[in-house]
Amino acid sequence: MSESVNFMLPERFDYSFHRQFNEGCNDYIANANLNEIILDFSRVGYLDSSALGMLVMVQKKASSAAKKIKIKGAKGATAEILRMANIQKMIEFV
Amino acid sequence: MWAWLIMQMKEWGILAVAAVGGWVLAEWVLPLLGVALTLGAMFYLYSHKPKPVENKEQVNYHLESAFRQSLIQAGSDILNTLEDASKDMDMLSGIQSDAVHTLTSAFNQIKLLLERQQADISSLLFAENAQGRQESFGVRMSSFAESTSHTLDRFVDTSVTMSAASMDLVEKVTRISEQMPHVMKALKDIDQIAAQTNLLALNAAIEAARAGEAGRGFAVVADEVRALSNRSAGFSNEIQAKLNSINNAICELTEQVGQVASQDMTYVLAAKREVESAINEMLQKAESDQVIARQMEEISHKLVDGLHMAIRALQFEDMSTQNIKYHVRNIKMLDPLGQSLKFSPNSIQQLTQSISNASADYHQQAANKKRNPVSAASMNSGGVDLF
Repeated sequence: MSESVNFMLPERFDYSFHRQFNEGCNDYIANANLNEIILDFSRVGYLDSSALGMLVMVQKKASSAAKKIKIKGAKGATAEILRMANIQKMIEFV
Repeated sequence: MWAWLIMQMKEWGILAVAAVGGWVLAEWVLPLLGVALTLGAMFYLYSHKPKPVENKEQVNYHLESAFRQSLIQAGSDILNTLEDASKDMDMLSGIQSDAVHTLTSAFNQIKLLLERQQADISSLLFAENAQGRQESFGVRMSSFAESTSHTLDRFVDTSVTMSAASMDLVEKVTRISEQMPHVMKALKDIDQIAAQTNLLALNAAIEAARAGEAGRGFAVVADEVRALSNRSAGFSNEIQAKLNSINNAICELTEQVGQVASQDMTYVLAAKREVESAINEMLQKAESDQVIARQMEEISHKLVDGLHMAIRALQFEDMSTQNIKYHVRNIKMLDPLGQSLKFSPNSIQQLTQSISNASADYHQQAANKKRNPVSAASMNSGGVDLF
């Protein structure tokens, strides 16, 4: 119960990825062996508002399941958009 | 013995009387005698003094004509010069007054213009806010900047919240549509049952026909069962068609919600950056305007101070005018002396008399005249009374 998993996000993190994102996250949250999900933004070059919505939603789900979500490797415009949306107030950046 | 004693006392008494008499003589009698002698000598000298005045009255010396002429000429020249001098001084004072008044009014006008200019500058840089307070554009700009960036933040927050809600919706709808295959499979099972029932009813009908008259009633039942199985197959088809259209609608809905949820954030970021840089520029401009305004205000104050000093310095006109008037009066006082020379009478006594009269007149006036009202040598020593 102290494992963490790296969830690699695609180059375009938008609505088209939502099914995979939800399924992946739901699986990780349901997995009792994991307590930390690290969202890897190092490949993300574009994200839209639905991605921000998905982050908010996954954070809610994770906190209700007492699990941690972290963001790693965000850079450039991606990092700026995440900061502008005040994501850093809900999800820790590592 | 007694006689000798009395003799001795007499001698001492005589000595004492002599001593007292000598002291009185030295202290009182001799000085009084000296004073009396002096008075007597003075009286003697005075009573035997010759009396020249009485002799002089009787003699009448006449002035030499050429000397008198030159006296008259000198008197006339003196009078002319005095008159010219006082006229020139009056004129000088007039010119000076004119010039100083022109300067004063020019300075006052400059002062008014400066004040107006200052007011214009501050109305350019300051404006009344909604509460009626004077407020600089810098302050307004920063409050505008603050509210703009607040609005942008709220917009971003709203977008994120809305996207999160939409994604939640999409997920829930997706879960509904995920139930579809199960429902479809159940309906397919119903279809199979219907088909088997139909087949069974058909078999029953065949068996009933074979039984003849006795199976007629059973044939009716078999027909009914067949009809029921057909109807249930029909219902199942109908439900499947409806479920298919619901599934299609759900797909459409998911797509549309997705579109709503997927707003490009890059342009918001770009817009935010643009607004921030524009606001920064405006703030910097407002700040530099403020600095310039303060400098201009300072310059303006210094100019007004300088003008005040200049206007104050122009009060020298009053000092100088009073001085000139004082000297014109002084010159006028010499008039009788000049007159007495110009109209030199024939006799030396009359001339002496007239000069001494004029001189007495001059001294009388000089005694009565006021002190020079202006004693200060410079403006700074404060000899001016401002009215």
